[in-house]
Amino acid sequence: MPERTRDGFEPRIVAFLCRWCSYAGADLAGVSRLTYPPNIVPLRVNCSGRVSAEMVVTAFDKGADGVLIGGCHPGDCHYVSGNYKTRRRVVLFQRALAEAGIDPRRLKLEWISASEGGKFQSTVTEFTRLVRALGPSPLKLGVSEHAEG
Amino acid sequence: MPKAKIGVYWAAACGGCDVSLLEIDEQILEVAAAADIALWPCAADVKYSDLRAYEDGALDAVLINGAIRTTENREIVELIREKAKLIVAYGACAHTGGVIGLANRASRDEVFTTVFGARENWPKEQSTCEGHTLCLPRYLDVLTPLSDVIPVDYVIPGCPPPKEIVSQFFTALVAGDLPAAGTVFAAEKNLCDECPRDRKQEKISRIYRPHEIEADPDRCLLDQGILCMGPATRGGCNAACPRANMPCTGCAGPTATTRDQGAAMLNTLASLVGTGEEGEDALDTEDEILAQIHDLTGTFYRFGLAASTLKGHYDEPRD
Amino acid sequence: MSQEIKHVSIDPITRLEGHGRIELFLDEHGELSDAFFQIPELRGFERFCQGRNGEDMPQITERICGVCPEAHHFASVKTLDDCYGATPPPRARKLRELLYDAYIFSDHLLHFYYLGGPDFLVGPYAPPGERNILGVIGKVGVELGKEVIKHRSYGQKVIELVGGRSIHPVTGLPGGQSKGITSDEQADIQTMAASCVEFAKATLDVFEKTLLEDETYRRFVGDDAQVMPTYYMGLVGSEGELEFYDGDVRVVSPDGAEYARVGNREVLSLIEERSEPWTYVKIPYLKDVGWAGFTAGPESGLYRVGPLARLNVCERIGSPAAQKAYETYLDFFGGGPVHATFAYHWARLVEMLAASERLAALSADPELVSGALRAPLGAPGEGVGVIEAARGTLIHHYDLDENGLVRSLNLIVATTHNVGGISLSIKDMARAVVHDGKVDEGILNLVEMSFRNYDPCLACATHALPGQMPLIVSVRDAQGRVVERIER
Repeated sequence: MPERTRDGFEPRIVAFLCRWCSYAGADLAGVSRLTYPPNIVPLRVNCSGRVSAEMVVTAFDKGADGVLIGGCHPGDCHYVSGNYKTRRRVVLFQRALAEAGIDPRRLKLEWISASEGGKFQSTVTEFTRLVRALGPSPLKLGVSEHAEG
Repeated sequence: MPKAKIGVYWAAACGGCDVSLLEIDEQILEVAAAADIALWPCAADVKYSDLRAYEDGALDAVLINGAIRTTENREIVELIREKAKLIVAYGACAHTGGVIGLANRASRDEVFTTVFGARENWPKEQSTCEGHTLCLPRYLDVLTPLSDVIPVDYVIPGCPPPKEIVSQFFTALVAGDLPAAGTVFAAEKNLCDECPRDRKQEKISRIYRPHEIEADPDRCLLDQGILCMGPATRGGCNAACPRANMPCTGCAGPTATTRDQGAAMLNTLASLVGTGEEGEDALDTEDEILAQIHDLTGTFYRFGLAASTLKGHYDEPRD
Repeated sequence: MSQEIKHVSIDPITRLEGHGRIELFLDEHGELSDAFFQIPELRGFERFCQGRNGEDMPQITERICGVCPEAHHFASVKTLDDCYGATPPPRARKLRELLYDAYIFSDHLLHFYYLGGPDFLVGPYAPPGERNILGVIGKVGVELGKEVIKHRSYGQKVIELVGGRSIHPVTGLPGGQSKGITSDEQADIQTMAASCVEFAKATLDVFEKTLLEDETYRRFVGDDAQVMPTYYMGLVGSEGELEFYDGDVRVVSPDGAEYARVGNREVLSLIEERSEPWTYVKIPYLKDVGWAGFTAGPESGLYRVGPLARLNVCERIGSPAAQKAYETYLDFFGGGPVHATFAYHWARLVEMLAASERLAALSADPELVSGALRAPLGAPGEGVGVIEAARGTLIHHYDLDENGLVRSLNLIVATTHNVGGISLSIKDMARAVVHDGKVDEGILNLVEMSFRNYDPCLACATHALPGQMPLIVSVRDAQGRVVERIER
């Protein structure tokens, strides 16, 4: 995990990647020597549909500034429809973030197939740039700082 | 054997939890025979000066309801923690912040502006009137559940806790037979487990708000497209609201396996929403169905906002 | 000579709902210099109800108060009826009234036996450890004590059968109720109601034998200091009868003449409120009379609500036994309006009897178990709902957007109207009983007894008009569509 640079803040991003598509795509990026920012913590899951809203909540709670979910393209899910469920969860959770006053773009869902090493590289690069610009997640601050009021 | 000393206190509360202690009807006489009421502002004349004068640990058990909204709430519950052997977080506000936790979506200044208008009309922590100095506690910027401020020995969830559970608690207390510390006095399973309705776990192709439909009293409310928090909520209340033909709103808080009640329900709902066939062609329809949920915060986080991850007010600027 | 002013706090005040504190300041002679009734709590419902689903408001706003949740639930539901241009069908309306009568009965019973009554039932100078329901049971005996508990549970049971839960009911919806009751449940309610009528009569007997015979009580109902000629507000029916669930808002002036009689939508325009820096509650007063400080009289816009006020604004009760009790009450005071603050306890018991008689009469109605439960709704808009909580007039006002979400809201909650009266009462009492710097526990309790008359609900009280929300009247066509919006 990179240290905070003198210039500013480096975001910490948790990336849930499905083993059949996105994680393989990440491997392909690596094997192809495509560089991308080191800010992500990749977590392999069997299906993007495994990623519950609670797992996203836990990631933010434990200090993630952004959460990326990588799944198979619609129609390609190894378990047929897991990615559709993921998509609906992300729609709802982004709304929950927005209603709380948090930028919903901190949660991103992208379809990345096993052959899309380049897309993995560009997704992670763009997302890191975005979250860096957004700054540290307000959810990291914790209640005690607020409660003094 | 000397009588036990018990107490009841309310932090930021509505009084419903205090009244719920009376729903045990005649059992209150057994409790009174076994214990002296050492503190209960709603029902007895013990003052803060009396509370301060108690020795540390002099009270055997104090049931605290209400959330921590002001500096006075915080100060008094910290004092009670010193004076009591056991603390019970009683009711939704003490447990998860309760409905009043919804105020966390606004800062203190925003709340005061809404309630009092211009700043010169705002109450002050210290003011002078006719030469006399008067004080008010500070309204904290963020409301928290009780356990954020003091360690808690037991939890009795619900808004308010149902009388069967209250009765069970008092029976155990009077018999000196309380369970292990940390016990939550409610069911371990979610509400669906005790709901009498017939559940088929159907896809939700349209969401109905309770006033948009006359709900069938026998079928699962979610199957009918009515948002019910049952799957994400602890049971123990005998599914009182579904039996009244209204959906569960989540007042007993999450089960032990759920980290964040609102997120858990969002999850469940996302799995259920659909037209039957999933596929690229269905995405727009799914989005239309999801757009039928208007107030996500008030629906999924109504009782548990202050205990969830999204517990405060955040003001990220948006383009 | 020392100018030391003594300062005594009653903290917290007890045997009421909510957080409060009374601060007494004595002058160098040990006489009262000033007294303040402070409410140190605020939860901000007016803010966090914004953006909520309109239909969720009955269950959200009832968490303003767990002692009178039924009042908020049905004020809210009536507001939603108005917002949606819906008239609940007779069965739904009667179910709501049935629950409401049980609620008034139960809440008044709670106050007399558990909250304010113990001061007289056990005695104002009794040790503090005995001035509570357990002391009352100790004094009147376990058999009568069990009757108290049993009848409160009857009221709660009716609320549970109609409302789904005995505390924080859930069945209210715009245009109706989510469920009805069965014939068996109706039969149970009839039996319980009949017993409640007898119990209410017995409670009036208890009152006559204890409070009316108590020297302290008689002193206070006759004592000038405790007699405050204020304006009064309450709901009345079309024939001037006492109403709890629905009616016109009537305000009478201290001499008993009618000051105003308005529909639900006009009542907010009668009221203005002011803030003070030393309390979280705002103080309403009659706008056109004006604020003259914490004083009573025709030049002061300070007004009162609740049982004393309702018996002053109504002309008859509408049920036989309570009508007789009302006449006895008026005779004692030489006719109305009754200004003696301590008469609140008596007025409350007359109302408890009235509510039980209504419960009994309505519980026999066959329409409770047959017919539609819901009426069709028009498009959402703005609405006002006014009801009489046990403690006084309760007003909800919502503006719903085109999706039925709350854009803005106003609430004026029963005890709020009484804050001016309570402030004046505690000051008058303190002035009467604090002398030579002597403030023992019994004297401080007398000061508290002056506010207990009002059966205050302070969690409710910190909710009043949040700023300038204009009243917009929606004019609807026969299909319930809004055709015009008029701003007042």
